[in-house]
Amino acid sequence: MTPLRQLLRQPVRLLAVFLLLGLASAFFCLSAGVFASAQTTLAQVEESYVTIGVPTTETKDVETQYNGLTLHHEESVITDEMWKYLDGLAAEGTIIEGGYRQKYISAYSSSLQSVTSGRQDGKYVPALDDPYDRAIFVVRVVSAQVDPPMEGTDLVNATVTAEIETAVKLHPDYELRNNLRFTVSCNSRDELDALDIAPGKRYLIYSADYIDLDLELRTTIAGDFRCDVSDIDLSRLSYELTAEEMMTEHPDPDFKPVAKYVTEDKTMLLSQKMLNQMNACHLTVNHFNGMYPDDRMAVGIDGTETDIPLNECYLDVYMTPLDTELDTFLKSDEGAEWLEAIHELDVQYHSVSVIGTDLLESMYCFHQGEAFVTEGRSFTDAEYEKGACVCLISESTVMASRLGVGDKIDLSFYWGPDPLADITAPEWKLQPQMYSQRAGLMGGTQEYEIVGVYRQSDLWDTADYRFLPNTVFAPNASLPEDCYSSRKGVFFTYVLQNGKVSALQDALASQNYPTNILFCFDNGYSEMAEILHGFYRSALQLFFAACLTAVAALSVFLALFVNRQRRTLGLMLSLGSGKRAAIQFSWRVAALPAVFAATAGIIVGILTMNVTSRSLLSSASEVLNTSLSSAGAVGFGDIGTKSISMPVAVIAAGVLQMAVCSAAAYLYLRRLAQKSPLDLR
Amino acid sequence: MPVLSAQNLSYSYKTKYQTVQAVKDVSCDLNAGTFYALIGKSGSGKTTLLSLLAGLDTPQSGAVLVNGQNLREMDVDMYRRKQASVIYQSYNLFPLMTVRENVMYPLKLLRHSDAGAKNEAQDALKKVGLDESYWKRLPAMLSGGEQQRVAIARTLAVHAQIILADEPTGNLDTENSAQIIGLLSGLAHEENCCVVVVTHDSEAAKAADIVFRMDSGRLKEETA
Repeated sequence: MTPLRQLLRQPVRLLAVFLLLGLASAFFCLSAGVFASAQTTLAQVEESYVTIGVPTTETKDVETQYNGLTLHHEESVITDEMWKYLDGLAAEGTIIEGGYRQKYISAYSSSLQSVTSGRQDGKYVPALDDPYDRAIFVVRVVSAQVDPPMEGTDLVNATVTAEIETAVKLHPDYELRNNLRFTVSCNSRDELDALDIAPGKRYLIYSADYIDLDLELRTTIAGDFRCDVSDIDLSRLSYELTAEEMMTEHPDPDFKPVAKYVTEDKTMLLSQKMLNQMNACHLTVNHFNGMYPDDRMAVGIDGTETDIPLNECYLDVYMTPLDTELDTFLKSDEGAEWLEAIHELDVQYHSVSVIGTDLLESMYCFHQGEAFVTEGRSFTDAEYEKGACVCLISESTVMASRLGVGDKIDLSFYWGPDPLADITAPEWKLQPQMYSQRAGLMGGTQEYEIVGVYRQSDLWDTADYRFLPNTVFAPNASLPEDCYSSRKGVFFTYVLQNGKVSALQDALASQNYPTNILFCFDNGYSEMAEILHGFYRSALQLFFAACLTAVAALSVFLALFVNRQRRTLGLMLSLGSGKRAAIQFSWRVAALPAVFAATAGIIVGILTMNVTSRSLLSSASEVLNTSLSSAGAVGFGDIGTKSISMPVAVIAAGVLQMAVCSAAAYLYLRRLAQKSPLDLR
Repeated sequence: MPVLSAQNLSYSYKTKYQTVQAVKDVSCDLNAGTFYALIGKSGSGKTTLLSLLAGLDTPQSGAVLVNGQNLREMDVDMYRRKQASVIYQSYNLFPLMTVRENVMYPLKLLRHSDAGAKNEAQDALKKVGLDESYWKRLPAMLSGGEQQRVAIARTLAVHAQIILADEPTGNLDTENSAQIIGLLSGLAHEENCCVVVVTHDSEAAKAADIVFRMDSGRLKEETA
């Protein structure tokens, strides 16, 4: 006499109720799953897609008059008035969500090994290796020649050729070459004379701008032959040129071929200047201490003058005769400052640029996928907010430093002796500052955890919005206050509300501002959003229809099935079973089909949800006649075939329907039980 | 002491158009071992009086006394479960329970064990002439007379003291009616039950020890 047995004794009715509720439940569960899927997919897309507006770096020539002179200078095409208007939009928040400003500072970490362009095959660009191209050598002079004096300055240069005896400090990425050519720049003729540079004499030199001429030559040849630098074998050089080769025209009229590099497929002619690069290197020796006027003070990163003379920010080392063994010299009083110079370069080789950000994805490179996290993760909102000491490091730096995600590094921040001069120089590409032992590190060392590793599509690209691999990213709030920032290049981006690019352009046009002062990138959000909103609307309509169907099915269920329990209920009551027991028994009989049907609905819903979602999505795509190709660029390529599956919503819908049917049946039976048993017969 | 007494019972109900005074100041004493017939015209209040006596409805005034105790002060469910049993014209069997399960049901309410309930149900069914071949059938597979016998067996199984039957032969042919009246009479005289039968059947009235007539809600005793 169990409720189940009661049900099984009326198989046709049970089947009818099961089909009625089951179909309604399947439709309801399926539509709930599809609706939740549409909603979640849309929400995720809203969250994942970031629309950025990158300020143009375009400048215009501005002419000003000064003391009767016409002066020209370059100014950004974005005027202060435009910035003000854009900032106003950002504060309002309807079109522009906000402005994201990056900060810059240099840092030293003994755990980090910097990398140079010389490390990467075919990418050697000496200028980009600054300031890692500083070195200390013991050299023996082969020849020396004083350059003609320069007008308007006391500086005197000499061009020296020498053999490198010992590389005291040289960045580990560079190979040591035998032949050295260098220029020594003295602050006066007396200073040069005091050096007494003569063939055969030994010197200790502190240099900058180390250029591996041999590597440069190999890179040039490899570029021409489209092969790896390591494949270049200079023993293939031939000096036997044909008459035709001797007469070959060259873009450089001074180019005189003297040799050729030959492979099976191709021949490249080389000049004497190029041959001189073989096994050679070049550098510059500057005597910074004393180069500046005595009254020139060092300037801080905020632009304010300090009370420290700029000359004193540099060690007084550049070139000194070496008559003794190096070790003996370094132990002498004269060698003490050279020891500091050695330490200075130790720090320099382990220095990096640190970029603080409040939203990594707002930066052009990360937004456009030109830089991306390959291991670990980006920063979380909480980390940005709290200024957590976490960082992202480039893949090449991590490999060179033998570090990984989860490792911790100590960062000691510093500024160079003349920071603004470096940063505002046109050739500056976000390299770390030149480290000065005299200026030292800023107080305190901060421990950072590596939470992610990023990769760039081109490590040594120097476009305005790019950065070099020795760049560490960290949350803005974790950096010291004394940081540099600007509105140019990597330093500034507006983040727009998704789908508001046109609104921004309209707003700019309404102010008669050029619409191209911000380059907007939405990674195809506008197309994607249109499709997804179509999908969402279809899913909503489906869900609405399913709700109506479920209500209709419930009404039929109550009228034709639950109501049939009235006779049993009345009889039970008349036999004295008590209301509660009678209601419970009848309710179990009525609720069981609802439970079976909801379970079946859940199963059917889960099995068909993905197919239905896909079908609705592609229908929306067809109706809107748009493609999802742009979405593929940012990793949403699978969204057209695989929206976010929401089995939880299907289960929840099934459970809800089960609960509603059961509760409605219970309330209905309870209401019936209030009547006299005689009325229920 | 009468098993069942009605003391100045009055009951009215509202229809869409009027208030019907179905029972007016009815008093009577009903004893064990007696077969009562309650006759009267349709709408005279017979079934309403029976419902009041069975505790299925509550009178607006007056009282029903069961062995001298006011029914209002008793557990009405327990009264219907143990002391009073109602037999309806439409048999009122559970359509999805077998014959035996129908008879077992009130015994299960009285917390009899499965085996005990089964034995008692089978005994009761045998008493009303339904052998084993009927026990596993559903009510729909039985004739009207057989279904009414099952209803009587259900009454027999719980050994109810009071049996209230509302036109038990209303849907039956003459032969079956006679058998059912015989069974009910037997319950009164052999099982010492107080049997009250609401009927239009003159044969049933003839079989009764005492006949009451209802007329416009009022009760009058007639000589049997």
